[in-house]
Amino acid sequence: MPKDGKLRIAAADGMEHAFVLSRMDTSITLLNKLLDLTAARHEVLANNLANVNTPGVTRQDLRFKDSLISAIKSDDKDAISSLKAELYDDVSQPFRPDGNNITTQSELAEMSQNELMYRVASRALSMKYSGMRKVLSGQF
Amino acid sequence: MSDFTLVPAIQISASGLDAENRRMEVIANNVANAETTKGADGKVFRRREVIFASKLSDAIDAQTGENKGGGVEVKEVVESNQPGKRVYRPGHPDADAEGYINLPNISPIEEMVDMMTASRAYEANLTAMKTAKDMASRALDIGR
Repeated sequence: MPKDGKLRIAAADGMEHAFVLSRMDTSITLLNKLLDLTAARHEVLANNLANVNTPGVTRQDLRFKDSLISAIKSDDKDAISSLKAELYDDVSQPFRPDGNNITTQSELAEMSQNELMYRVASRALSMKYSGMRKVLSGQF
Repeated sequence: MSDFTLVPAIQISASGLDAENRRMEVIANNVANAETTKGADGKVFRRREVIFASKLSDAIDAQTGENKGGGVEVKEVVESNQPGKRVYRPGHPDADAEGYINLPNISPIEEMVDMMTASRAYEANLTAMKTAKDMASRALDIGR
């Protein structure tokens, strides 16, 4: 029983450390945000693709690069987590005669780029957590 | 949860697949009826076209605070008003007093082009759906 109790205390201690670590580190917040933003952007790009043959539809996109960069520079967790992406109509692409300016290939290209960013964020988050686990278990 | 935000994306791509599939059915029906002089209403068959309309999403998005699009739907299937060909075939039971029959206003070449467009759009939506699925499964692997 005493041994078990000690273990429990150690486990609780470790969890607290992990918690403190995650609170101090803005990168986990940032990576979570990046996952949310790229997932939201995927939805917008998928909607463009679904409407590639709908007359009169302007392609939409999410803009968050600049605000994300300034949030990263501020190193403020709240600024990062409260960041909002801007949904805008992209009129920079040429319109077809049916009033639609969506092309399959450019949407797919943007989509694969976006997916890559999602992969980067999820991989980095995984590495962050596995690093924490190593620290907690004492195996290096 | 990041992986759940991808569910609407999968639904959007599914709406694209549905719409393109419906379009493919209508095209196939046109091709099958390219020579039909007596349609269901007793008149000559007319070319049918699908009308696509974009849908609004059910929910306000958390990342933007706006309503992003919610995919596409087939709003209606309309009959084309284009005049069909008149062919001289006096022996035909549907021939008029001058011996002419009205053929449907369907050009198989046009239908083929439409079919290719529909097929490409279907593939694109399928790719988008697969990407969303891959992303969601990656999110599940975080911390593994």
